[in-house]
Amino acid sequence: MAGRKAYADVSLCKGCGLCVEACPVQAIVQTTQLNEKGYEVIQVDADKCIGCGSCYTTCPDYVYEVR
Amino acid sequence: MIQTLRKPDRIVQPCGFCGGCGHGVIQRLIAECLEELGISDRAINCVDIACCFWTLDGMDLDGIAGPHGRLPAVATGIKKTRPDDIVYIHAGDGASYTIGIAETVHICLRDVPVTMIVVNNGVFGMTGGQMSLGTTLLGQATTSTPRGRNESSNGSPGDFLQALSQFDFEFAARGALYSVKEINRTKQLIKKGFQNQMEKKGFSLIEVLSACPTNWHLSPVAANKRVEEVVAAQFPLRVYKDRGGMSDG
Amino acid sequence: MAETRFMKGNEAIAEAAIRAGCRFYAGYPITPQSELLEYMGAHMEAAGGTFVQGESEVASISMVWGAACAGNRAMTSSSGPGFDLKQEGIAYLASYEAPAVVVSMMRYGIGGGDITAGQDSYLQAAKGGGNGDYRLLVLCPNSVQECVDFTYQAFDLAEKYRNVVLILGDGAVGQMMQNVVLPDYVEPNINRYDWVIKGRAAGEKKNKATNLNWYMGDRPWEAHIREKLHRMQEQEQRWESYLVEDAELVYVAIGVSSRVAKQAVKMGRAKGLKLGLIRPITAWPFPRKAFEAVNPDVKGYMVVEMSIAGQMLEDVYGATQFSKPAYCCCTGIDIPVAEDVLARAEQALRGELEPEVAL
Repeated sequence: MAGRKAYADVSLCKGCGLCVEACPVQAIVQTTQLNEKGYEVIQVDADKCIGCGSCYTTCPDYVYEVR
Repeated sequence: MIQTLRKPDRIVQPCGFCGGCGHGVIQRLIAECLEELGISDRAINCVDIACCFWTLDGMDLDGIAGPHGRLPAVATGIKKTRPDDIVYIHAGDGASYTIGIAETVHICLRDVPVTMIVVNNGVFGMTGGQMSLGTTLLGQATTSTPRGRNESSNGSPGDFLQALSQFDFEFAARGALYSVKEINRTKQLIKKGFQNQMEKKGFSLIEVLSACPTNWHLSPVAANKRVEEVVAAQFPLRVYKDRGGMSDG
Repeated sequence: MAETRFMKGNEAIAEAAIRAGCRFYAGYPITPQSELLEYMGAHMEAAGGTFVQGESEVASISMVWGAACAGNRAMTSSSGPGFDLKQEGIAYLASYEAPAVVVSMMRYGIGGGDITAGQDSYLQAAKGGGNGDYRLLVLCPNSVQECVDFTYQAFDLAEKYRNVVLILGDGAVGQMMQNVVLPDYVEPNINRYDWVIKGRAAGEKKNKATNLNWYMGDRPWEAHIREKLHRMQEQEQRWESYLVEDAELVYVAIGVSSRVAKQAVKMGRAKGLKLGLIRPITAWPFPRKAFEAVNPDVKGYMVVEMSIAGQMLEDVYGATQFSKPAYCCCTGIDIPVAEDVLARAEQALRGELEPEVAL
């Protein structure tokens, strides 16, 4: 998984927070920033991300791509 | 080669469900299984009226929305007409275990080679969170049992998957979505259900314990915790029957 | 090579359906049409089709909904309270304009009613019964040969209009036995229409079998349905007229009652009474055009029907625009008797009957 990272399309995010809970290295934080639909979205810290895919697996809204 | 994780191509719309709802994960697991098994071109999506309905347009597949609770019958008509297509049902617990229990029982008895995924979140989600007679837990507050489900007036919920598994059909198992591990395990159960159909085996029933944060009035994280600690204690996660001999591991 | 066979009405419908290419039947037993289901159980598999004895009428029509949307020629059948239960699925078929053939062999009564012949599902059949503003094309056989012919045509008509076709018989027609000429076999093709649901490759246009207004837009869909129903109303009125051009009183009847009424016309004519008969073959669209050929000086119409209060009466008043009195000869649980039907006409012509009030 060397170099693999999670990329988030926060326009799809509903701020449910499940990925924040699932991330094993606390690389995802909930922000107060709103997307077009008015949801408070998450943010990924690429430096911390280990590309494990937990966020992709738990996200019900297809926000993540891990590559 | 490093594996990329990306939404399957057959999902063509942003998810229409409430934030934190398990339906979106289930839709993705279904699409992933179809893609990985190479059967997307043969798949027909049979959705029940209620929240599942969002997947009718969400999935780039031919689909059908049947009368509430009748999807096992609808899918039977389709599968008998097109036996080489992969016919699956995406339905809720209210449809499958309450209004449509006769249809669910009889697709088990007929052992029609269809894959049925029952999303059990213990409430009627689409109509506003009323009691689901088969699955709402005792004491659980819903919009039709605001002081909690009371055994004397509403009876008790039941483990329908366990009860149905006494019949002679292919595969019955229960999964959940409260952790990465359980989501991955649930995906294997759904995949098994599709493989059975590819191999012209019988009926596969996969129940998935799912959270309804909106109607449970819990945060998505707390709702998932409730599934893990409370709901799964009532409805155990395991393989209930497997004629093909899938282990419970 | 035409084949002649001595058959019961119910069985003749089943045989004609198989010959028309019907390859999916689901139903739930109910008197007086169970022979239809039993015949399918005995013969459908040999034709390469599927027979399912459903867990209920509701499930059976839902199976038909699935099979029809998947492109099969599909059928179900019932009677009375069982036909009630079909309404949910029939409305779903109408919502996607999926074609299917439904059979209702009417029985007597209200609610559970009784198991003997009746004709009081007329309004439910002709006017709807499920949710929404749809109509069924309703064909009413009055002989075993017509059971064959109408069923055979029904699948083509259902697909022509993308509309459910209902074979509306009654227990007496279903139980009647006659020699029939059977038509040739049609081989079905489940892929012949572009609206069917099936597995499709990425990039292909997908079909969603549900309310079409979501995909067509509400107003265009409403216009489309309105246009279709009016086209059917104009093009599909069918009837048999018998001696109406000089008639002083014209019976209007379907099914077993029309057979008796025709006999009453003959008996009346033998006595010098100018009677006639309009037999609607389509209960919807009701054959209003049939009334244009009636003697303009006709003194009235008489509905002969096995009902309590006269269900077809309002259609007769509608067709005549209330220009003539209409009477009822409602026999309820009893099959009409020609002598009684004739006597009732004589009473009307002597001015001894009040015109019947349509409820």
